[in-house]
Amino acid sequence: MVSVACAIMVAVSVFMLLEQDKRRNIVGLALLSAAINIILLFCGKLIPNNPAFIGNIDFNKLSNPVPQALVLTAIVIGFGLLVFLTVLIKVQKHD
Amino acid sequence: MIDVMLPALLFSLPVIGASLHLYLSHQKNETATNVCQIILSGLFFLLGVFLFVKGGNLSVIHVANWLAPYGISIVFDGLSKLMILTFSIVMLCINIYSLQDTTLGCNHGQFYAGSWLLCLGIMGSVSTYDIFNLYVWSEVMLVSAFIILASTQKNNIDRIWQYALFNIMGTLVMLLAIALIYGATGSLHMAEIAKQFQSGFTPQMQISVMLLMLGLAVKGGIFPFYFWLPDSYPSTSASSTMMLSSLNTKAVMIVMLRLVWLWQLTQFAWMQNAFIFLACCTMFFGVMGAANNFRIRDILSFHIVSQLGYIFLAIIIPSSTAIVAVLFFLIHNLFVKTSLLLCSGIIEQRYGTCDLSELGQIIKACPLLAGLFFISAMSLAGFPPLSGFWGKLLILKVAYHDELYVALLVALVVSLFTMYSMIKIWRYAYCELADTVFKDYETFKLSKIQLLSLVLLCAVPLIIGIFPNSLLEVLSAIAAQVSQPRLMLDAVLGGGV
Repeated sequence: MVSVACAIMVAVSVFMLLEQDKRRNIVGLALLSAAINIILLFCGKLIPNNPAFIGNIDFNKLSNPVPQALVLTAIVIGFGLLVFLTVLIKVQKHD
Repeated sequence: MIDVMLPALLFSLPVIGASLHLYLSHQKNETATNVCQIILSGLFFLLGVFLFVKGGNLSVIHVANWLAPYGISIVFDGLSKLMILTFSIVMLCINIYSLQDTTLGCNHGQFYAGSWLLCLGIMGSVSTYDIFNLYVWSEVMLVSAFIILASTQKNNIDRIWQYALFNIMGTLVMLLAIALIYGATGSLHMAEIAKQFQSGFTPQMQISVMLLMLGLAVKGGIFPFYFWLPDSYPSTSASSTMMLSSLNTKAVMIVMLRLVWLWQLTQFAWMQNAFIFLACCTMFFGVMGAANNFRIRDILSFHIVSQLGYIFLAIIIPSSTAIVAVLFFLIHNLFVKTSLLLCSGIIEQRYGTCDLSELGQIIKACPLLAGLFFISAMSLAGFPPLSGFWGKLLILKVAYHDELYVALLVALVVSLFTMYSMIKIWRYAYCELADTVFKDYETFKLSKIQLLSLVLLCAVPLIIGIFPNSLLEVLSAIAAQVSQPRLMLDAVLGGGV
């Protein structure tokens, strides 16, 4: 399920990135980075509905906290880049 | 103690520099900005020298005392120390020149802040041993490259857009590859991953490693993805082009060199063949792009791509002489390309254009500039007493020993075409009369600051060219360290500071 969703997101984002309109490019990049973030999250040992630390004593059922930390970093960086690109478009409009 | 203090100082200096410049550019105090920049880059150069001389053979820093396979390791081996030293010298020269660079726009502080952040990103990416950390550093490099590209008077947002889209996609591909590698090995530490790769390389692992290389190739400007580079680099000011070409693209090559040797990627024939094919294409198409261009800075930007091909070719050849060749060529290219771009910057400041059809007879207007340009241009083309000759000779020798005759032939042909476009610049800009006479060609003199930076940059290829042995000795010591990844792995994984 997740892989199919990621594939669709990547396909849509490639379509958006190939367009001339810069606003559409931004949306495409946002989608692409979201898809890759999901892949990153699911590459580690992630067990849905299980937290990383709290409440579990059985170590086999613990979720891996590392990919969660990684994806958090990646989301923040991706967001920063998107903000920069949006500002770039805004500056161009004023010229 | 010195093992911890020195890197801490090295990493904090760029941060201090960037924040200081952001503050000073708010105050609009130009003298303070310039003085501060020269002091800081001088200090950075001294720290680089100190690290290189006193830093010891290998120092490993485990960030926040998380031990090796779990935490982030910052490793200062010969390779990263040499690169930090070289980058600090080049940065000092560029900063001296940029004091008087009028094409930078009114706000120099923005450029300085961006260049310090770029410097931080580069130091991180050449010394880190954690692949996710590598991704974060490359994002730091990306954002600061945006700031540097934007510091010009011209409106070049469309060009920045090209740069931004391609490089963000490159880093996203890198992130995807990192996710896949983490999924396959369960570790983010390069040394730990290398240990797992030694015991077996599944096809999934091969593909994810190749994907990481692909992401780096997009960011470096290797053949199928190179066209953003000659499109965006010349669109900004001369200082910015120098900064990006010398620091940004070369750091990516160093990261590639480290990964190829640490993970022993040369054991796969298909990977090696793919790399060699791409390297030949990069060399050839780069030089062809230069041949049909008529603006000096565009020609030089295409040559950045073409010279990357040489480096890329030697990266994948599995012998320790190849590492010496890579490092020698990289250092030579850093200085020569920067000084050529600096010449074009001076011409652009003086005549307001760098179109070859509008320029002419600079040899009469300023013989000194012509002479210094001639040294650098001949060095780039590879004429004997200069550094380019030794760099190319080493790479050709390594290719010959590895029996890559086609690559050898391509490299020779490309070198001929490099000569051709250098002669083109020399003939149209320096010797002949311009087609359209729109400027008076009265003589002009280089200012002291321009002369100082240009002479510093031209002296290095001359010295290296005449006395290559001392540099070769240093480089072969580093190559011996890089070419024995097992020793490096043991040193990084076991113990530390």
